[in-house]
Amino acid sequence: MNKKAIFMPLLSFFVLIILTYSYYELVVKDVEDKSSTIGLNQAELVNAYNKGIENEFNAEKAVSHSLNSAINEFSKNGGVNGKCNNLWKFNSDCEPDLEKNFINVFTNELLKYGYDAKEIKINDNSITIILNDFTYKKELKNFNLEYSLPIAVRKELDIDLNKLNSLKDQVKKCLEEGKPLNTCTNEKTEVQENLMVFSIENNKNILIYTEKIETKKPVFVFKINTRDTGIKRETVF
Amino acid sequence: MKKGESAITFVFSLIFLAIVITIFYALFLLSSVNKANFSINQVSLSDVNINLINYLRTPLNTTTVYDLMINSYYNNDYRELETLSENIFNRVYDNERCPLWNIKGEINNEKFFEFESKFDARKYTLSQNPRNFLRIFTDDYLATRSSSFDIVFPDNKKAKITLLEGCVE
Repeated sequence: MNKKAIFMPLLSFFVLIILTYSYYELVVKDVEDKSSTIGLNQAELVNAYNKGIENEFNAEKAVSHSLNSAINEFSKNGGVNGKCNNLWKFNSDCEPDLEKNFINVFTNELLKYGYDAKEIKINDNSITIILNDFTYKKELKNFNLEYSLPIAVRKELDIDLNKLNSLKDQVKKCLEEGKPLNTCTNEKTEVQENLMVFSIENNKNILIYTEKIETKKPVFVFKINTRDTGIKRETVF
Repeated sequence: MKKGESAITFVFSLIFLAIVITIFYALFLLSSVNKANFSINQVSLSDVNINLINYLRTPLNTTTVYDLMINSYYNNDYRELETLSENIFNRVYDNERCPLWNIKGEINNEKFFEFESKFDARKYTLSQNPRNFLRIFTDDYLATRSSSFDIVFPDNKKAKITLLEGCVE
């Protein structure tokens, strides 16, 4: 066969193979990986910021929902442990330490949403919750990202803890002085045998979500056993 | 092989080679343009996220759109949320530049609301395939981007809100 005649078809054939292989390697194979390297680090920075905002938003909403549930639960239990059955007994496990008990109820509600508080403070009927920092870490090629966002939420309480604390002080003073309980406060009371039952309606509405939304002013109900108040003084009733 | 036949083979091979080189040149050219477009899409995703979170935070008297969403879900009445969403997104997205928006809410993977712009899909090519050569024959095509956000819902329900936007490119 003529060598000159075979050269050109062979060259065309090899060029076709080389170009096809090049196209596969450069364009078809891993096309997304190659293109995504442009601006990927910058996109990751923005992504970290967005995740932080989302977490902050959700934390704020989780706090709101937890506060509503906590106020409802706290009022239902009369500000003491659920095991006390609304009965206030000073210097015992049923001590009405209102702030502490409210924080306990609230912490449990907040945990249901997956948020753990580092610190919770109640001051002048406002609650400040400092949650664990939001952290975001990403390791990319030649780029390590670590983003930390402290999250703190402050809310006015929709229950008047100042008023309840003042009532508690009045009750305690009354018991220490041995005066009849119904003469020491202006609150609605009811006598059931040796129990004095107090009912204090909340001044603000809260939202309770069950199957439907319920807007209600929870009633704070607590009882005192006049024969066993936990205070060392004979009460006159 | 005769001299004449060998000349014909040479000429045909030359023509074939020219055609092959031209086709591959066009293929490389088109694919390199599409790669650049993809990188821009990555960064612009952040705008959708910000629009979504701003939508949820939009204030309404004493509450926000987020609270209205919860109320709508529990009362099973989405009329107010629909009107409000249309007002918000029709202002955010200019109808000429971004004619498509869609907002959707899901709880435990079940859709509980979905609203979208009045959008005529026939006017646009929705193909997102960067190597789809057909799109060069249409004037406008829509680049769609979406962002999803898992939000806290009362009773710790698993809720997800997704915003999709389609803008002319």
